[in-house]
Amino acid sequence: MADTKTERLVNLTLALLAAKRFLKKSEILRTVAGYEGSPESMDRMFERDKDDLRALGIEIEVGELDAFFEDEPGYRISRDSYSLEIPDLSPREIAYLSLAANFWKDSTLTPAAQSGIRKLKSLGIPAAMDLASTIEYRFENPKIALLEIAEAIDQSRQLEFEYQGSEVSKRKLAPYRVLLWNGFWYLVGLDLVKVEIRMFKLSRVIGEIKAVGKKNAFSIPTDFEVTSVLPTFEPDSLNTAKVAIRKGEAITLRSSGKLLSETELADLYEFNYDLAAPFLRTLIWYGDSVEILEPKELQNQIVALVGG
Amino acid sequence: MTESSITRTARALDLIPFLLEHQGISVAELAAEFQVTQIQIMEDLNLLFVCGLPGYTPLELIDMNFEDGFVTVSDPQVLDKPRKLSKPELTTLLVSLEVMKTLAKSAVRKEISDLQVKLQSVLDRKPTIDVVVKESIDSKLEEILYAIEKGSALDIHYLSAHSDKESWRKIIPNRVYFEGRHAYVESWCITSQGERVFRLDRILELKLDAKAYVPGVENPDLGKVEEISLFVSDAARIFLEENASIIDATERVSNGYQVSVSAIDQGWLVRTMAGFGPEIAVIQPLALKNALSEHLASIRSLYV
Repeated sequence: MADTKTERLVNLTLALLAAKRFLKKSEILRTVAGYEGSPESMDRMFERDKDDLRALGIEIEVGELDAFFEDEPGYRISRDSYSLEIPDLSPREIAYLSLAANFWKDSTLTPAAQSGIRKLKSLGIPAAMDLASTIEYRFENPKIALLEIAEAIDQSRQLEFEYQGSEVSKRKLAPYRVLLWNGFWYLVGLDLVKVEIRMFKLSRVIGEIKAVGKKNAFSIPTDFEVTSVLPTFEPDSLNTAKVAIRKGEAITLRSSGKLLSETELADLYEFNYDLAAPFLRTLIWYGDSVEILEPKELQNQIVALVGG
Repeated sequence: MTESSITRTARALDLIPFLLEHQGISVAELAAEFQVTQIQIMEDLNLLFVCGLPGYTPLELIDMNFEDGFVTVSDPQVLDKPRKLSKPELTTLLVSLEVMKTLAKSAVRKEISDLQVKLQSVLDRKPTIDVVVKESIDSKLEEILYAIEKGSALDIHYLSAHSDKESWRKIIPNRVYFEGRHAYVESWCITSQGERVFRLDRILELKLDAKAYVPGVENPDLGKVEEISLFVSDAARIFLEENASIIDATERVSNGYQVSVSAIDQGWLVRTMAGFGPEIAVIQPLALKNALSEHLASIRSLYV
């Protein structure tokens, strides 16, 4: 069966694009191929078609009543708003964009990146070279539809989801940004229960993220920068531990600490750390080359972990 | 047919300007480019063949030929220019450019940044997807990239990932990748006659070796792969996230996951698992289970 709806949408786009002036609805229904049936059903058809084209991002201009149109509004699509216009793209830039489009491999972002690059390839600018990247950035493949979240952010709609923290809980969020950080995806926004800016790892979201409520439900502070909420690993203002490292061992560990003193068998280092758990994991990695001397509390924690 | 007419209309509208710049492309290539089947592309072409401007006489129709399996467009009517980029298209391209920029050499960084500005100017508001890449190119990496470009070998002073021992090795670097918080160098290791991956921060020193090396025969026998099965509790979930690349399968069990892990260095695995204490347990093999207990016991003996 022929796809009459698609055919009609294509024909309508062409007719509105070609129009040098606004076309009256009656004109459109009479001349564009595919409009058939009673006047009421053609009317409904036309209204739906306009919505569908707008959903594709095509702007249909409406010319309001004026003398020429008598009592009917007119429609057209301007060439400028329809067409891709990016000033002075160079062949090198097209090559970078091709590389950028292939970046997402097989993820939920792939279709948008691919359709984008197809349009750019239709500009008639040859790619300067075949750029092959010697550096690859691997990242967690998002299972969640990132672009739907991006749309909710655009529309300022709240999101609801279940999250695996120390326990599973329901979260409600005014979303500010989707973030790719250190190869993992995060959602950043105002937690509406805790009333503070929080970061959520998307791989810990259980099930779907749902957009709830009305559009324009909140506004993102104009000076919001995602870097302001990232945990910093600055070595000050944190906890300190004294650690003895056996001579000649745990060499990579040494570079993140400060040498305090040396004895015959071991070197004494001071380390600053943020959270006990990841710090202990690092120390345990080096086995019995590394002994915690202070604080006592951290010693107790390591003993508990290794099964004392 | 599950495809909506909106999706199909979008593709139909994008096909014509694409074809104008790729005259004579085969139906097979076109289908691959638009990531649909050849049957679907033929249906699209047949549909476009009867579309055009009001009047719909041959002069007003889109004029194209695809009977011989190669597609040419002689009259696109008004579809001579591609549609503008949608917000999701712009956003995904901008995000990947941002990552590329961070990982690019300084000369290229400026070019990509200018390109971002051009794309940004089409987007009417701030992008909603951000990316923050902590890593950047340092002199060590510049040198490795140079060696890759020239096909040269490097002498590296490397700190082993599984034994906390250092050694000098001769490698031919092949590719660099970033995963999680680290950068890795995929290489042919001349010293051990096999493919090896080196973590950048464990390369303590490196020297370029300008002589050319021909990689030897690949080490044919890596030994039989042993099946490793672990229990990882909910509290140790981060182990799964940080080591996703070695995990073959996960199965939800009560309070955690049962996971199969592919063949990797067992010394490294023991050290990494140990940091989670009782939250990770080896189900099999027994030797790995014992190695883990030994590692934990050696640490315990320091304190009791």
